[in-house]
Amino acid sequence: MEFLYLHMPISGVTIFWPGLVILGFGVGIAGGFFGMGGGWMVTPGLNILGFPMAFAIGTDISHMAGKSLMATIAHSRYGNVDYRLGVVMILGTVAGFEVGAQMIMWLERIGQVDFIVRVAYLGLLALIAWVVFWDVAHKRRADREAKLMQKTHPVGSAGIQWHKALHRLRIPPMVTFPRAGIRCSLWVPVLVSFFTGWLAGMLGIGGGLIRMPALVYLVGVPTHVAVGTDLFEVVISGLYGAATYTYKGRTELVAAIVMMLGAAVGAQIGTAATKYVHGYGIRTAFGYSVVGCAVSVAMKLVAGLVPAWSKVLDRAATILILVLVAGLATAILYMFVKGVREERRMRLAVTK
Amino acid sequence: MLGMSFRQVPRCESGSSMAFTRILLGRLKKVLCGWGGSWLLPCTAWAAGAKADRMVFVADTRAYSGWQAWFANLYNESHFYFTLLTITLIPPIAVFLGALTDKILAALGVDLRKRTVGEH
Repeated sequence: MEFLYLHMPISGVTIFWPGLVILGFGVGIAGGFFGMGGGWMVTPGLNILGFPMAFAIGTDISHMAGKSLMATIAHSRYGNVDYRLGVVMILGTVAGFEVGAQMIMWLERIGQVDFIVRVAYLGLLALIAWVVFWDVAHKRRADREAKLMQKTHPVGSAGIQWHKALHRLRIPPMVTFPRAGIRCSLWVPVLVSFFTGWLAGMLGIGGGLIRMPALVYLVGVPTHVAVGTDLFEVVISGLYGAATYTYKGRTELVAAIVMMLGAAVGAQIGTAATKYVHGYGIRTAFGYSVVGCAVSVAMKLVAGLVPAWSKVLDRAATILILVLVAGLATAILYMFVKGVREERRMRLAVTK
Repeated sequence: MLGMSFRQVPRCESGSSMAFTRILLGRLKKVLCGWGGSWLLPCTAWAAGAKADRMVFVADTRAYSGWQAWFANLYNESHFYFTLLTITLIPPIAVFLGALTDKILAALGVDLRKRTVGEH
């Protein structure tokens, strides 16, 4: 069974390559569906496969850039990418990210900040999950009330409408983002992306997990377009991250390419699945993934506080993330297959 | 553009195109890593953080031959060229793999051209 193992020329380790393909496939599905890079899912997976942690982040980011490029092209065909908004947001994201990264380095020089960062991350994830589920619950209540009053389906009924307050800001220049269907001050997406970039830089994460809900709730972008536009940003930030980590010698390019084999299929399936699911369905599934991520961060936090449990909790957090990836990928795959079958049935009915 | 014109780039003694390319890339690196490119490029990009600077990795090339030896040597000799190779390879590979998967999904009857469902 030697052919199932591949020698990595830089790190010098031998890796079970189908594991890399499967990991790429699973994270590709979730990434294409939710519009995020999914770094928090990949790193524990690479760890389990025996990949040296020194190379894990760089390899993950390199594969993430490629995977997001595939997904962006696919989303673009469905009209899910607002490139103008994406470019505007990249400016804010990069600036915010660097300010955040510099701040955290400055804080590190002063003292130990790992614990504070983890608590802040946990708080942020809890807030995002709460916002998403509150929004979904609000929407369901509005739909139910409308149904009771025997009204037609309330098109446009929605939960959180924070973006409306931000759109009332009339600071020039005012810009229109046609694909997203919004008109607002240029400063709204710039400041929102600066804020999400700053948070990502402070927390040391890619930021897709924060940016996607920020695009929906603060900028007012429809969910499908938020997913596609966020992926476009991940491409740029991923290439930038790949360059920085590779320059520091922290990328195993062969592993990244092998992962991309699985991610190619996964990202296309994840992207195609979005066309069978309503925006609120994507939001709900996204909420569950945030909860899973929060639980794993909480486990690592406790592991740091209670050294006796650290090994068990670290391992449990890794397993939880991998189970979450597998569960999400299976659920999205199911929606995809169901949607394709439905589409075929309808096509056959039309031709008959 | 690169701080000097093409004609000004010093010719190497052997005059081989390989050495010429090496010098040209060296000049390019110098310019890109200088103040002009400091906002954009990995040499001064901070995202990877200071922690990544503390360790130096060297690929063990003794057991390799062929492309693996070339690959590992490139990594050992210059992280800059290795970075160029990485960010040059990733996009075309991604586009190729994406197009291939598109063809397979389209052959399976998945409509990859339009989306009808909306927000609600």
